Amino acid sequence: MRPIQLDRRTFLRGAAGIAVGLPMLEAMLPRTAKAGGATQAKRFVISWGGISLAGYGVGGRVVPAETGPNYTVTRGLQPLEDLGITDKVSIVSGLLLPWAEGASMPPAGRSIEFHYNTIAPQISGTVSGEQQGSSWVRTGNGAVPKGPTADHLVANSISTPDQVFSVLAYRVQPASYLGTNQINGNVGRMSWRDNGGELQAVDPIVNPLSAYQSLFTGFTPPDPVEAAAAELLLRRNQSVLDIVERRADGLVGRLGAADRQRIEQHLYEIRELEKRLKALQPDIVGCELLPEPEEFPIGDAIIEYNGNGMPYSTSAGYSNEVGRSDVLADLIRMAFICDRSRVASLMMTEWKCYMNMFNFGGWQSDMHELTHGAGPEDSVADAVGFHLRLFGGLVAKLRDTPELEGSMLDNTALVLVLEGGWGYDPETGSSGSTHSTENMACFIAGGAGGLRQGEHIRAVNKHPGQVVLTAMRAVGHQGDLGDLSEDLDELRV
Amino acid sequence: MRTRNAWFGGLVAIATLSSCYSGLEAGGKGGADAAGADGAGSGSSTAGADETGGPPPADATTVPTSGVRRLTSNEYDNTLRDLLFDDTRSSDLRLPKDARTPFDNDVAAQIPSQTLIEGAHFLAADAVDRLMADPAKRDTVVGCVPSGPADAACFTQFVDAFGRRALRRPLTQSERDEYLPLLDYATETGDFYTAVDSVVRAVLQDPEFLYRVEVGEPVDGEPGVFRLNDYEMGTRLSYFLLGTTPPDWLLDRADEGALSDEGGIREAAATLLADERAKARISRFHAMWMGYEGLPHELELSVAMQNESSKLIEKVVFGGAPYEELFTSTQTWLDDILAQHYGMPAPGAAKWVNYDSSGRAGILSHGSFLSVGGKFGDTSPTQRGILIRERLFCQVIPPPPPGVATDDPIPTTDDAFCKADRNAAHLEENGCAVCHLQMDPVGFGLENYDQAGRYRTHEQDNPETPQDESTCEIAGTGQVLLQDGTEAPFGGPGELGALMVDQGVVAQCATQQLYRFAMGRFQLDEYDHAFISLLQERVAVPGFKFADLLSEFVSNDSFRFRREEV
Repeated sequence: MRPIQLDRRTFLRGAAGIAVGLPMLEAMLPRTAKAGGATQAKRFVISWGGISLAGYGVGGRVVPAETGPNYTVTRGLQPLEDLGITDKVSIVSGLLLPWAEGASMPPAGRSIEFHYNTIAPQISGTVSGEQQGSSWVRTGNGAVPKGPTADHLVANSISTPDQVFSVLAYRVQPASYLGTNQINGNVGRMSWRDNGGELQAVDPIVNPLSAYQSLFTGFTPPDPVEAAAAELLLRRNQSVLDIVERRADGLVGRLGAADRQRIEQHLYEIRELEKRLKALQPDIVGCELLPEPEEFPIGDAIIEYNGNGMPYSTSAGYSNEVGRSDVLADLIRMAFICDRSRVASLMMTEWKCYMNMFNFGGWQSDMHELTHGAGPEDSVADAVGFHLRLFGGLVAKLRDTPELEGSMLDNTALVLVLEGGWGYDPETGSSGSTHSTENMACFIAGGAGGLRQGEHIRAVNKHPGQVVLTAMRAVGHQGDLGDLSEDLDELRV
Repeated sequence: MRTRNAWFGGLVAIATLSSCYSGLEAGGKGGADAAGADGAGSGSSTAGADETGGPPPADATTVPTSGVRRLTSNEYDNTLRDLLFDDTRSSDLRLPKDARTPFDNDVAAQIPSQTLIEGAHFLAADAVDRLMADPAKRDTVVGCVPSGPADAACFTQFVDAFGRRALRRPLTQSERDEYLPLLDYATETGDFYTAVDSVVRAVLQDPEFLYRVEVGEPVDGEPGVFRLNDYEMGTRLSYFLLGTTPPDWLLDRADEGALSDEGGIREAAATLLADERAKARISRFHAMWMGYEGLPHELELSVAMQNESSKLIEKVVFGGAPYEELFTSTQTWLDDILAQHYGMPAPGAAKWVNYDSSGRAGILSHGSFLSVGGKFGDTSPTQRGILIRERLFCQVIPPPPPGVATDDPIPTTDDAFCKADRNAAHLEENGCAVCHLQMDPVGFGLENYDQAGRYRTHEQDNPETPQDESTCEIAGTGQVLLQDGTEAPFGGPGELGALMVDQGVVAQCATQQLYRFAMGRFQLDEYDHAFISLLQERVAVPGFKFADLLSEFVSNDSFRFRREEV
């Protein structure tokens, strides 16, 4: 029998049509909450932005001058204020991602080249680069993680068989705009998993409609006629996938080693899809089918402003990233409510992002060029702010989702890491460079594990991966993050 | 005469690979009708190495490595168009984006993932929904009129016909039997097309649809080398030359066993190249090769530029002209948009016009090509140099060494604010001349053309610097370092094109790039190089035609074989 549970918000709407403060009733508790205050499911979100803080250190246009709560809302932090979540999001500044010197590579360090090289140490705690003789250098595949990323490590720690998606891997920016998705597409990835001892890249879903259909497979529409049609379609799809699986399985045996490996991986993903098809709508109050999202077309290649008579396109190089992000955030929120997943990786932008910044401050440039002098300091703050608008959008949605005595945000840890900071660039020897991993900053949100919320915390020369590890352990991860084993106590209450 | 080894390195010792053959029996003339219970178009397995089989290739050292290749997004859309009359081309929104290296089909970059499998799942659902919503298209695809919901004969006929077209070979009995139970859904719903819908969904998610699976038959005395069957050959030909699934007539040829020898393959290739879809395929190859597949301009201008290039490619490749004319043609296809952009007289209606004495000639003069390789809002001699040497000369330019920042523009000073001076001073200061001299002089030879392909005599002013760069006169001359160490001077794209022709670069490099595209292999091994060298020898004659290269390529004995990837 379906447990009787009441969604707090539905209850309030139904009772009075307006939101009023009422005490949490026991019947509103999610099924994952056990009587007597036992364990509540925790969730984890890791996010990435391909932007440097640029020349704006402490007291600048992003990082506030003072530490502690009630920090000054700088230009870059304005989206947090607009969303009303400055009391929920903490800034961790003063971080350092170390680099190799000669043959010596620090734990979770990087070779001295900047782009593509700063993500792996932060999201996997592994080094970036390859040793060639007495030095470390960036190579195409060397820049990708050497071990599984935080999302999969956490999923392995906290997920149960009930979660049909171990990780929701989404990306907001759908196209590279300038250039191509280089390095075998790795500029658009932030998720790698351990696949039986082999590291497997995980392609994110970038189409909100695909993410939607993926998440709600097996859900029942409220309309009885639609529900019957959905049930039939589900059965047919299961029959279809049974055939596909059998045929893939048969094919594997006829192939050579390399081809067999590819098709076996394909087969694994088919079986995962079959599992998801068989997972019916969870019997959890508040878990519901969301309206189907609109299509989000991919924008054209960007047109650079160059003063040579070519018109600057205000619309190219942008694909409504804000709208996309909001849909994906809705899906993550509902996936958490429905307990379909407890972990998400949300890649806001690619490494070295070329998104048009016209919509965010009227800057006639792509994001990357702004960090190299194409715009004033404010423009880079706006670029960081763009990522905080996206990150903050999810934080706000979780905050507004009741759970137990508080909100879903209280039981979640979210962390946003960025591509660079500001300071010394070991590649060129210049100081005051955007190609630096000195003075980096991360953003954390959520109250899981007693994380400090709404504060500016200086963690001087700590590794940004340690911030990620702290967030991971806040939701119950017991292990390390690659080379990194020490979390940051100062991030906890 | 420059030899292939001078340009591309010599052959290396050929290693013998161990066999991973899992045995495929040839069936019928085409090799599929006795494909066995599991059916892969070429038979069932007899596990273990097997050195007995059909006749070996004439020269096994030129048999390229190949395995399963996923349809690219472009190929998927083409295939859906030709199977289901579906022109929506929506796979780009659903499938993982194909990495460019520079082609979109590099096997090494194709990774099975949840995004791929779910993308295929939902694409199939969308496609079948559209098909069912259009009774005319649906009926054409089904090919028979059911007498009732449970019309097994019509259903079987549809399964056979659609399966053959989608999986590019006839279905075996056991394969057909896999799909027949889906007819139960027609009975349940009282709607025959519910079962059709289910079959289309299943086939569009089948690994043998999403991947081009090549297995082949083992050959005598060459472990790891397999002869493709006729259906696999037909599929190779069709995706290479048309970028889509084999047309029915080609499958018929495979049925007849007509794709096993050079004559049959040449004849099939000629027919394929007469297909309109071949023009788009060959244009796309050139666009990815030269980097102008996506252009950073307003859509109208970008389309006009790409059209200009496609028209010239079409004229040269399909009009029987020597391929060198692609780089030396004194005519171009101009419309009013492009004419206005270039500052040329508007032709009224698009037509071929002469360049006259403008210094332009060939595709390197097109706005499409000249729009590639810009940086910092201007042309970049360095980027253009890399593009030309890597893509057009097939030379290897090493990446910047550690310690070199490539994201910051070279600063201007009062003494050095013109681009040539700026670059020279910068190179001197930083000791980068050794590398940059391989690239920049090439790019400087095109400096009279801005990053949208318009002619200019002076640099554009950079409003962000105090100096006035518009006072800087552009010399427009450059030089390219040849493989033998000599430097060849040129001024402008027309002279660069002529230089490439004179040096034999066009034939050599076009062959190598075409090979990468055809085989989906960016990283080349010794077998690849051996095959490429073979082709280069055949086409390295003045006045060679691209269609001849294509025909030579696909009819070469080695193209009918595959080497198993290990």
